[in-house]
Amino acid sequence: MTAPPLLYLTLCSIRNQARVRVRRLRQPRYLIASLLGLAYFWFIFAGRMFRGGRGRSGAMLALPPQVRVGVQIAGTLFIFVIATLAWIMPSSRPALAFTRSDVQYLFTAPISRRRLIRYRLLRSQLGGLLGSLIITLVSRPGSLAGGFIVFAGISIIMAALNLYSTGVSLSRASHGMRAWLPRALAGGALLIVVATVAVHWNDLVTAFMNGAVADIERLSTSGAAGIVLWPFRAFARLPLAESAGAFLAALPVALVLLALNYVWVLSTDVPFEEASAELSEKIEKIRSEGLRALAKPRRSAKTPFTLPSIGRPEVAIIWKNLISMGRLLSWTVLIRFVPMVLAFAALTSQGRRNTTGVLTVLSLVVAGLTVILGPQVTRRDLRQDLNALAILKTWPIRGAALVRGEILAPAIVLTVIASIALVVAAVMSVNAPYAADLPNRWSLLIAALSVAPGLVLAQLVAHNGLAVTFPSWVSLDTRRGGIDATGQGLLVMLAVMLALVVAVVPAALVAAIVAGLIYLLLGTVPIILPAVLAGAALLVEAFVGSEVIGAILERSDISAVDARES
Amino acid sequence: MIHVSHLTKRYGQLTAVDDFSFDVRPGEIVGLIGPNGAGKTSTLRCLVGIQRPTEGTVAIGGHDIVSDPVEAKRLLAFMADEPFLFEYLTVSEHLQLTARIYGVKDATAKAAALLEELELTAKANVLPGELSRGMKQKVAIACGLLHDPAALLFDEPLTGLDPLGIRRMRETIVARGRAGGAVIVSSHMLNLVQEICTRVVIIDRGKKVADGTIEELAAQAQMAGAGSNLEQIFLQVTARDGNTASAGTGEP
Repeated sequence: MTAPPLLYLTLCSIRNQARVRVRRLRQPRYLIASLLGLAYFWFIFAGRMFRGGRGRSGAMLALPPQVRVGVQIAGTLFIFVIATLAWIMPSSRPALAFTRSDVQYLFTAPISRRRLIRYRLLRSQLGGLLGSLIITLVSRPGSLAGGFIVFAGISIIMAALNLYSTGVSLSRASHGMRAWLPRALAGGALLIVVATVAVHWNDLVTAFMNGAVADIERLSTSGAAGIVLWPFRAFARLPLAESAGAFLAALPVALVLLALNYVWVLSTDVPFEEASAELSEKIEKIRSEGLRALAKPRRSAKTPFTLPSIGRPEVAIIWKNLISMGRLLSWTVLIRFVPMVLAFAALTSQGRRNTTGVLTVLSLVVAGLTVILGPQVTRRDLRQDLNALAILKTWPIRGAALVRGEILAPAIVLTVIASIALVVAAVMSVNAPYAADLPNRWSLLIAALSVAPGLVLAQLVAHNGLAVTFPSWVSLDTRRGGIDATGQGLLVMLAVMLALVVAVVPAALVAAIVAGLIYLLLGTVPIILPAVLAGAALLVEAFVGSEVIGAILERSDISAVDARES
Repeated sequence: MIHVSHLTKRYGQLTAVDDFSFDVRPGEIVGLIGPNGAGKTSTLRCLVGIQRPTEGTVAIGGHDIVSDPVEAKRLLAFMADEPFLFEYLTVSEHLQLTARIYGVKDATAKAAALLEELELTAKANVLPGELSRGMKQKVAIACGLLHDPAALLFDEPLTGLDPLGIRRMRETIVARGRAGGAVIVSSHMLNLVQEICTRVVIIDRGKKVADGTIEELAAQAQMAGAGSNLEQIFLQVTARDGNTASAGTGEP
């Protein structure tokens, strides 16, 4: 071993991680998943890049000049906002994320604090490089040189941001409440930019509407705002450079700024060990339990209902999972879905200016997303309890009853949300000019309300069936990355879709036959009765599915779950 | 109460438990000991229904754990070495959940008494994340005892407990045995096993290599002169030279 020990540790870790990943390709499930993951990345990223590259001029990034300038301004502002908010609204996260092994081996070893910081910075850069590569593939550079420029530019930005945020955290830990000067400076810089935008608001709106990006650029590069934004512009210019020459011209300033950040971090003499050790415990918990380990249950939340000690045991499991959902759900979780809902609503309500029309579409989007995506997102069922399977299997409950108990809590919550959204949509559509006449609208509502629970349950049964049948495919750690993990996710999604199709076909057939018979008899196409029957068919299928999964669960060997790699 | 007959558990080519048979009668406290990898955990997991035996049968109170699992498990309590608690349920909610799962009558009074006995009353509304490991162990025990199980299985019950916790745990196990429970204690702490167990079963490489009281084992292992020390008996019985591998089983 001739390399310095921490570099040796880093290189060995990378090499062995790669070896493990290659070696496990001998197992068919990893090989299939990896091939699927590779195909996915090829079609989504690389394939697009190379297909799109044909016939282009070999430009660095295939962006029209106007767009390039716009992206550069947006990028500059983005980096600026991150940098200022790091001081004004600091994260409680410790600066350096050491692993538990790092803490046990390195913190107790005769290694200087500065070397430990350098080691951790080096490790954290590796993730940044991977992120840069993905961004490069997504941005579809027109040539190999263009790809390198984008990759190098993004990598330098990520490295600088990483160093900067580390420096801010260390500096805050060092100065505590006395870190008012940098905070005041950051606040002042933000104020200057906000004031510039406010003063020139009308000009900016006009320039934006007319596509006069040069006017916006002039504002961002002149006056006080120009001075404040200068270092951030130096970074944003790198990946957007129009040529190799432009990149090389922009590079020295960015590298000097990067080096200054590095020197700043290393010169910060602050004890980070305690906070890092705490963080390492948290990271270890996330590795073993998944991201839910981050969610802190709220003790104050009340139980959904009083649980009598005598009665069907399924109810106890529903009660448990409802408590789990209530205690772990927070407004911050719900707010994550708002942009998605608004985006869908905006796309689907184009041209509708009246409020009720927009609300109708918004409600329908919520209902649709709840039914389609809800069962995937709401994992408060067997997927959550796979870790606890050893305990659940000691309970005196039939497997099928256990499965039903686990599935019903998310099913109830999702059905209630979807139903409320459907009712709101129906009510809001009363005054909508495009709405159907009243009887049809209420018929459609009843039909949708009849089918929604069955669709939700069918998907939940499919998801939980997969978790029980192929526990090693169901990852508890949603942060787990890699090509094979992507492939596994795709396989699970495909399997669930297939199961849903298989479940829907009989229900649709029942509905079609009944609708056809009624049409032959009465000469009209009914909605409610076929929908109710289709919904009932889905519920029956879900019940049968739970019996099958329950039987599999009773026969399953816990060692299969123990062997799961999460 | 606990009847294990020709239990075999294989994982692919590996035989973890091999033709293992023993009984535990009501009031007996049986120590299940063996070296690392001997098959103790696999045996316990088969006994409580976490794993299915590859061959052989396990019956709890006359109910087969495979063909009649619900009734068999109703009589069981399994206290694992690592207490598992649901992170989002408070201590008292764990007891409510357990009461409903096992259909415990008069659960409120029993839960209150157990919380008092295990000094958990003040922690009744606390989430597991706020409890020490010892406290979590106590909660798991309270859940296990709530339905007055006829058969109790403890896997390394003293792991992570402080001296007071160790004493309490010892008292709890002995009290359950005296109350007529059939108890199995799996542990590497041979002094605990020697102190509280009425009988000891030694397993090595998946096979039963000894079964009896300390005195019987000492006599069978020709170690009576050594003073009936379980540690010495264990080391001799599980010796890798193979000379004494069948001591105490009555098998050739």
